[in-house]
Amino acid sequence: MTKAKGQQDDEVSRFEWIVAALGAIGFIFIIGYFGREAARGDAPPPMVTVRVDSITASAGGFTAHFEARNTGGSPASAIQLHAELRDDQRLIEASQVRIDYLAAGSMSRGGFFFSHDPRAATLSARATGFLEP
Amino acid sequence: MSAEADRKFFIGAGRALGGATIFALPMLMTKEMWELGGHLDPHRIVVLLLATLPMLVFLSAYSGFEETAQLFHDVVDAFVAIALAAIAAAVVLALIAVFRPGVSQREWLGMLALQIVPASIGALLAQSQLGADGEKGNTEIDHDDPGYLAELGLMAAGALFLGFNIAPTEEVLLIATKMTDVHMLLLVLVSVLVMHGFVFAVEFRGHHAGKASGALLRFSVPGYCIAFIVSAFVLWSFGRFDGASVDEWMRLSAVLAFPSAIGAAAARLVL
Repeated sequence: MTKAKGQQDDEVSRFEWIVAALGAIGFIFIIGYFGREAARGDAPPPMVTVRVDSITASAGGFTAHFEARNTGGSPASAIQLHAELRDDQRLIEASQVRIDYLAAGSMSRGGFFFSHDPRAATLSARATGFLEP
Repeated sequence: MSAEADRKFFIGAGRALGGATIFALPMLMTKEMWELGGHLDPHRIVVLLLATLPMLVFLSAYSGFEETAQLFHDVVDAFVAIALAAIAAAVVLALIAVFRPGVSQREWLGMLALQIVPASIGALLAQSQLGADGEKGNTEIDHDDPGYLAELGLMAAGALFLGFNIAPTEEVLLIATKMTDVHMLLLVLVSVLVMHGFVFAVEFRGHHAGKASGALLRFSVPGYCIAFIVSAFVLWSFGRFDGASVDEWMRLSAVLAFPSAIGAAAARLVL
């Protein structure tokens, strides 16, 4: 049953209009954001780049801190990272780590453990594989 | 624009923030929901949000956090619910360090878009759940006799809410794998029976006296079908149907339709 509206019901707080407007703008923005992405079609595959930014020494050895960033257009999971210490061409030591999940454009930090000092050798790190989530 | 109207709005907004938080917390603290935000197809996010909006307008007409009396106002309330749901979800996700430096714009927007669905439903339900004044009579849908379509709408909302809670988990797949065809058949029958129990409880509460005959065909069976379809929709939205056979679609939907059916039936009792 529809109740007759009293005068009180017609009175709407200006804050309600403001919040409703923010909600509408946000909603349309999100729809537009993902709608545009959907219209673009197939996203480029994930591309994970690894950058070692610092090396610290600890009691048990050395840690090479890295920053892995998914610079591709799609998310990746089970990303395998591999780091090698080489002296000229000779492999001294290798280290692996796995990142569970990295969305497109997102970044994750971690470290490779080594028993040899990476600063005394050539350190290279890269992603060797991933799974589509 | 009196201080009284402002005061009423802030009380309603406070309730809505509380409702959004309570109803969305299980999903805010679920790992799969964070990951889905990052990798769900954009067109599915759009479809999910566009399907949620009319549901919110309907819920606002039924029991918004402000007593509303016209369609336009229900739309306004739906957007208020979306805004407050987004705020509640963003605050919780930031508090639990899911939103942190390194998370891309696409990822956090996707997470927020997914959380808006349960959180905005929660924001609108806050009135009937947390509201103390019980002035339900002021809404344009009469709670004692909401009409058949409104009842089905309520069931869809209940199914969407509970289905949304469970669909992102790995367990739906696991359960569907474990169950034999006999289990499936029993689960479907039990789902309808449990629904019917809730339907009887509604009759018992006196809201629908005199309609007991044919309630199975009027509510329980169509209600189950709604719960099944809503379950399939949510599973599709979350990418659970990708790469699966039609048989698998049916099995997954039947598994999720069990909680969804109970959500659908409970919605009529609770709201």
